[in-house]
Amino acid sequence: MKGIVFTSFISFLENELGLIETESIIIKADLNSACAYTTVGSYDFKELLHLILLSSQSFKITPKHVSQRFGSYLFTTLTSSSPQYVKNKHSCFELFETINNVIHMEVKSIYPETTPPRVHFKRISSSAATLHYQSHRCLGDVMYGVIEGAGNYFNEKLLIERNRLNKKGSEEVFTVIILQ
Amino acid sequence: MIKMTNSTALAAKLVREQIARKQAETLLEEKSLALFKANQELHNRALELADQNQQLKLKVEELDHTHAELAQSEKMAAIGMLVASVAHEINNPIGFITSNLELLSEYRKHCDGILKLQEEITSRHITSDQTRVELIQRLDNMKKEVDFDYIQDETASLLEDCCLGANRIRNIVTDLMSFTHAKDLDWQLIDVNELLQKTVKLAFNEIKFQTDIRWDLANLDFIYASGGRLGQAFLNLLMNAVHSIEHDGLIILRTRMIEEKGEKSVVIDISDNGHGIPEKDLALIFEPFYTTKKKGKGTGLGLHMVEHVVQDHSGKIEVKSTLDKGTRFRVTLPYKDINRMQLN
Repeated sequence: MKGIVFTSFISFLENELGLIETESIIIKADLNSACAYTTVGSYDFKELLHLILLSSQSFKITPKHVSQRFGSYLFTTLTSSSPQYVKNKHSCFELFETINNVIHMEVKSIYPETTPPRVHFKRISSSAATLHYQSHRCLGDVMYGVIEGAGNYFNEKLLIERNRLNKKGSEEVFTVIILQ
Repeated sequence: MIKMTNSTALAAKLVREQIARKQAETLLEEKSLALFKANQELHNRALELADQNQQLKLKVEELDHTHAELAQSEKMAAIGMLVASVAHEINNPIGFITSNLELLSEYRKHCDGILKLQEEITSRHITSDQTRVELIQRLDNMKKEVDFDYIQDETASLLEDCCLGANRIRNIVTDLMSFTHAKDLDWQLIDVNELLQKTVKLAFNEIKFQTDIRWDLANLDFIYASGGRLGQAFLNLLMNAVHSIEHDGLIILRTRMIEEKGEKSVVIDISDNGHGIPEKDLALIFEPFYTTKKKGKGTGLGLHMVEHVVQDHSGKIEVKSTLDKGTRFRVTLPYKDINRMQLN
């Protein structure tokens, strides 16, 4: 998994829990990488799962909710590091349309070894659409947060319904409705 | 476990970031090296590509050369066909001229005897009337013997036929020259109808045994064209029509003027009732080296050359064909612009 997700998670912890708590979690996690992440590196996604699990105790919320909050935070990190993808977009649907065919395609051409999730967007009406998420990392909760983050970014109130297509959670369909 | 304070947390973060920085530097070095190698490979590939490009250029030149050679051999094949046809056309008058000259030579021998006798009769040496009467008697007998009156009539007729035959040969040779002297420089105002008639005349020996020709010619304005090249194009179309016919053939040659959007054009239709062209081949017939003829019978450049010639005249060529019914080639040549260009 690309380093930007990990560096974003550490900065998310620092923002939400403060430096002391973040470093405590890192020490507790005792990971191979020692959480010395760089945006250009690639790391085992299981380290992220471990950090989510540990931080949920500090947050005093479930790992699912940590993942969702992180998803929203990740969206803002990604848009500030790659603003070209949201430029001239006026709705989260316009952005979602480009995930598979533009954003992930460019990511793969720069980092051929990466396997970004497949996110197939299908518009149902002007205010409703589905996002078919497929990833062996089963990070549907983070995806949920990313969708929420996009709604916040475009100032759109979203209703998001999730439908897991398998037990593992490697395949999910998100139905997104723009309420206003 | 040490109790985490702000300063120990900051120190831990610093260590983490130092490690991350080292990792990033190592990665940067690896990537720079990879980039350098990729750049070198790209440079080598560019050199290889330039080399391949050069080879390709040479191949294209070679291909152009071969194409020109084949085009020349196609032209030579067309000329060969023409020569065979023309030889036959010339042989016919030569045959009767020769036979007429042989007869005339015989007649001349008879006339020689008669002339000698006439000279003797009118000679001063003969003084005796009786001798003169005898000689006149002999002259009459000789004239009767060789049928002198017939020889006199026949000689005139034979000579007239010889003149006709010689004129026919001269016309054939003139027509042939107008084809074989096909150069890009022979652009002039030409009568398309006359050119078509000349073409048929040249190929007549090939046509006459199996095909009837029907003419449907309109009054046309002269067009500015390369008579030789256009003639070759018509000849190719005509010979294709002839070769598509096995028996009871009919070739219709039709010309007319059309006007579209104020622009005049001459339209020439060459239609036959031959075996036609399969639909799948129609799109390919103008392609170079495409032929449906048996091996060695055609180079596949004939129609390609025709298209080339028509395009050189800013014209277009269309084909319609139905299997076992026949084929129609339509050549449309613009009139006005070319004339204006020349006359200006």
